Amino acid sequence: MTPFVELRHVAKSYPQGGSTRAVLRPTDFSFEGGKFYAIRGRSGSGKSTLLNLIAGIDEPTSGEVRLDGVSLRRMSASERAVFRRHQVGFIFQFFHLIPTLTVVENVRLPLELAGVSGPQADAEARERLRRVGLEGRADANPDRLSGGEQQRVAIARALANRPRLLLADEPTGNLDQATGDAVLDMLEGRVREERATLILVTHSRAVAARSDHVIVIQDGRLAPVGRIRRGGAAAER
Amino acid sequence: MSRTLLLFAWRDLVRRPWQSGLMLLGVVLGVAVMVSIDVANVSARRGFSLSTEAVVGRATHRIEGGPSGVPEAFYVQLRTLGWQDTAPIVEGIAIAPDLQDRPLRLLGIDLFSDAVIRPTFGLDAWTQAGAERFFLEPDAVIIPAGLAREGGLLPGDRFRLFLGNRVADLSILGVWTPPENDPSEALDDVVWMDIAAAQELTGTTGRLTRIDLIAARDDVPGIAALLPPGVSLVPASQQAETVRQLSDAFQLNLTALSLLALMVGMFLIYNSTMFHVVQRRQILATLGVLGAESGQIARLILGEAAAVATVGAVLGLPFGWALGQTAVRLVTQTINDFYFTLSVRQAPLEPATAAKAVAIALGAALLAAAGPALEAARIPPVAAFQRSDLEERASRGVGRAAGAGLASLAAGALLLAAAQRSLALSLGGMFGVLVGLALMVPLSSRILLLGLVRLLPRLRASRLRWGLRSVVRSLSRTSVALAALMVALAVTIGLGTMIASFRQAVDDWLDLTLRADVYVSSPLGSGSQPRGDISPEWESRLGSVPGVARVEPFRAAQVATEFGPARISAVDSYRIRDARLYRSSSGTAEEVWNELRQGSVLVSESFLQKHGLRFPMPPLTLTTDRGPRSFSVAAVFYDYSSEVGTVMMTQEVYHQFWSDRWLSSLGVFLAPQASFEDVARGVRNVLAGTGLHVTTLGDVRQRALAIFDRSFEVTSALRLLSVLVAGVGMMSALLALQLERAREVATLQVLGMTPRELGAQILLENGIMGVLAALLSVPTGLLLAWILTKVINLRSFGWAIPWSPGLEPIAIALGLSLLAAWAAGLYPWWRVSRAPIAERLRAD
Repeated sequence: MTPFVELRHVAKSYPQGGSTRAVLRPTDFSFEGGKFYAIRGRSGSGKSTLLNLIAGIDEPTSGEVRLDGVSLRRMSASERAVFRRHQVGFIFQFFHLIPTLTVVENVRLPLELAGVSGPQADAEARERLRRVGLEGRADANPDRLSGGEQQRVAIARALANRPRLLLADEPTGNLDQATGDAVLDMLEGRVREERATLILVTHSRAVAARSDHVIVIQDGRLAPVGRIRRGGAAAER
Repeated sequence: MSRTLLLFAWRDLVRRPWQSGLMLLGVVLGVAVMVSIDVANVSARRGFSLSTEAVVGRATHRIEGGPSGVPEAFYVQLRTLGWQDTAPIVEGIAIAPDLQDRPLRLLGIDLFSDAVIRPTFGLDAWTQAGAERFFLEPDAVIIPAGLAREGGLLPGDRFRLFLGNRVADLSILGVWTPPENDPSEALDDVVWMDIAAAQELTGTTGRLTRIDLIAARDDVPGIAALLPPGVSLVPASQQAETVRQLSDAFQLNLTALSLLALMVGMFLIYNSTMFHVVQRRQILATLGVLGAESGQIARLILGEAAAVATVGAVLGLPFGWALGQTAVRLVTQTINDFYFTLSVRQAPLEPATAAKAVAIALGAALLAAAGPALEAARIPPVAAFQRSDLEERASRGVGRAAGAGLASLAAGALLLAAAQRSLALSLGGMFGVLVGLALMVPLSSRILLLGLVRLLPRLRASRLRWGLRSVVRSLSRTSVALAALMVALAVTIGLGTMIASFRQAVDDWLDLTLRADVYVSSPLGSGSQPRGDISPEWESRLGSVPGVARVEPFRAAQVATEFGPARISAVDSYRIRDARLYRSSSGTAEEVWNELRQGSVLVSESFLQKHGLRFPMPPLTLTTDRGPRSFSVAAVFYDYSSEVGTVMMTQEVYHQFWSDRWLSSLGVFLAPQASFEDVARGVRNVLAGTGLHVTTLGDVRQRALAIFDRSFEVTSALRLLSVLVAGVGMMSALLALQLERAREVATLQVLGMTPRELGAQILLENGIMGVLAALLSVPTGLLLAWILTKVINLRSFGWAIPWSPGLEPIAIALGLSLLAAWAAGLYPWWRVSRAPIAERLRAD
């Protein structure tokens, strides 16, 4: 199968004091389309950095990230933004909803950015909210919602343009188990339905167990560890 | 106060250098504007009092006459009768062409008798300069050290003075250095010469300008009984007080304007402090959870505001002093143009000015921070974590502010209506109206924006609608800055409209009054505002120049009326004045002029206003050289040449009651077929060597309007500074808002917004704020212009000005507003396009 995301000698380091700290060492890796990948690793191992590099919101120190065969390095900031708008959905651990917009406006935003007209965008946004069970909270302010509800809004927003790549940075990290499971069901369901690629960062073995592939970041390198058996994982959470 | 809490406050200020810097800049500018005007006003006042004090010396009274002065024989009579403590003075206003046309006072004194009244520059002081030569040489003068230094003049040098139509070539006999810390230090604009020489030079042989004397209270009735007709005995301080009062209205207006800049500054401090509190709601709530008492939190906020205000005020002092050096030049120039000759040598920063500025800035900051401090202390920790709670509280505040605004508006309107002739109360009323309208800004902007949001779905302008919603949501943080900008822009529109209306009125008035083709005047004045004396012989001599049809003589002089001093305008009786010149009259233009020819007078509207009179009015009593005489008043005319009030009469009537035969200017009318160039050349040839100015109608108008523009330079500068202060405030608020939204903006980029789209959105949202401030400022500014033209100007100067709003001030306000708003968006835009998105997502 053709890889949707390719990392070619990608490395990332940050300046620290007078020297630099390597977060990702030169890495080659391919993520196939239509699969669910779980990324695990210790805190500070570079999991979020990897997602940021794939989303094109951070730049590698060396190497290149290719999405659907196109190098992000060759794209301008605007081209990367337009690519993200149509092809990438991003879900954050802390939701990052726009506080000055209502729930439905948050979901409508990426649709409008993609050129969907006002009334149609509104209808589609309400449909996305219905799918995540929040049609009744469409006109509420985000900060009036519970954490789980906010994350569902974030998912609805990320899926608004039916992206082919979904990046999720610890989407259940701030949620209780039941809510977290519901959020994961939703994400997984959408990925399977729409044959999108999901790359999800998590600390949890149980969450990782639901993925097709688990990748561990250790010492700045990506190591595939195959699949984790589901049984007994719940206890680890 | 806990050390860690103080550390928290300090680090927070340092962590937001842009916001803290802009807040500081707002205070610095506000204080600087206030200090600069105070420096200018205090220096001008001190300059005036010192020079008055020095000239008055030990005199308790002065004997003065009308335009012809006091007969010298009366002085001799006084001395003969035993009044030895008297000193005669002949005074003339002159222009020094070699010293950049500087106006100077020529004082002719009797060295012997003057020593009694003014010992510091009496006989003893000048013996070394050669008292004998002072008496004997008709061109010998003594000049003060300050003037010598400025003009690079030394004893033995010669320099010229223009006095009316005479050019005096004078020789400097000595340079007089006044004793230190003596009021005479202020006498930099005086040139002394022997009284007989001065009489000859000013063409007043046998007459004195006044007699200064030291008289006990019991002596006054005896001296008064001796006075010839047209001569009066007045306390020495009275004239100075009358003259000083003239410029008081001008200076009070400037002070009010500088306070306005401070008011805008106060808004800024309030806004910045509130912003600071709102941004830290969660941290402050966390402090509450950790056990910080509400009082401690309030004190922390107040302490921060006080610290910023103190630093800002201290930084603003030198800046204000530097600005004050320019302001004092502009203020002195205007006072010289309109009121009296004034030389201000120094404009130091007085400790009282500095203390006042620091105290006002500190008080304003504490007052402005009190609300946010109370808000911070009252936030329940749970609510602090919810943005919607902030919005709800802000919504409630909007209603309360609008209510307070209405109350302030009503109080201001009442004060304006009730103040009648009090300028200070009228200015207070205007402030009340302005503050009231400013307090209504949050409500009116919400209504305007929400109305637009409702309208826009039909227009399918989603980005604009989104921008509008964003602006509506941010009003909880920006409405105070918006109000500050609205006030500053309204002041710009108000003052701009007032100045434009006033200029138009003056222009129209010049059109009505200046009808001659060529004007001849002393270099001291212009055709529209003549000063100085021209010999009457020039009327006939100019009349003989080929191509001249008619010469119109004009005399302006100061006389006493039953209500106080007024200016006499003695005009030719031939030319009937245009009906549009009259505000109120007893008949048609022809009828009014006929009454004038028969001995009636006209009074200016400023005379009427200044003395609270109404037309028709009973006959007006004037002190003439033949004693008090009553004149019936035929009309009230518009006159912008004198705010003391003008009484117009014909030359014939003037000569009937006053002995003064001097002229102030001459208007030359061309014969129908005459060439303008030939006549102008002929007039110049005739006047060659006299020092008189020959100006064309166009030049006179231009010069009059140039003086007008110059007198508003300081106002315009203040207006611009107020906008600058408000612009900084608006920038500060918008910048803070955009920086606060850094993570939100990064999220938008993750969702696929390009830097260009984001930049456009930032500029759109800031532009909406700018346009909104400008839109709200238009009605406020026009109302302000109406108050300024119809109330403040009338009560300050007695001039009713037609209110004629134009587009230019509004366009300038809109431009300035957009500039400030867009400038505030540049840095956030730059950040958006430079700093990595991931980094901003992590940012707090």
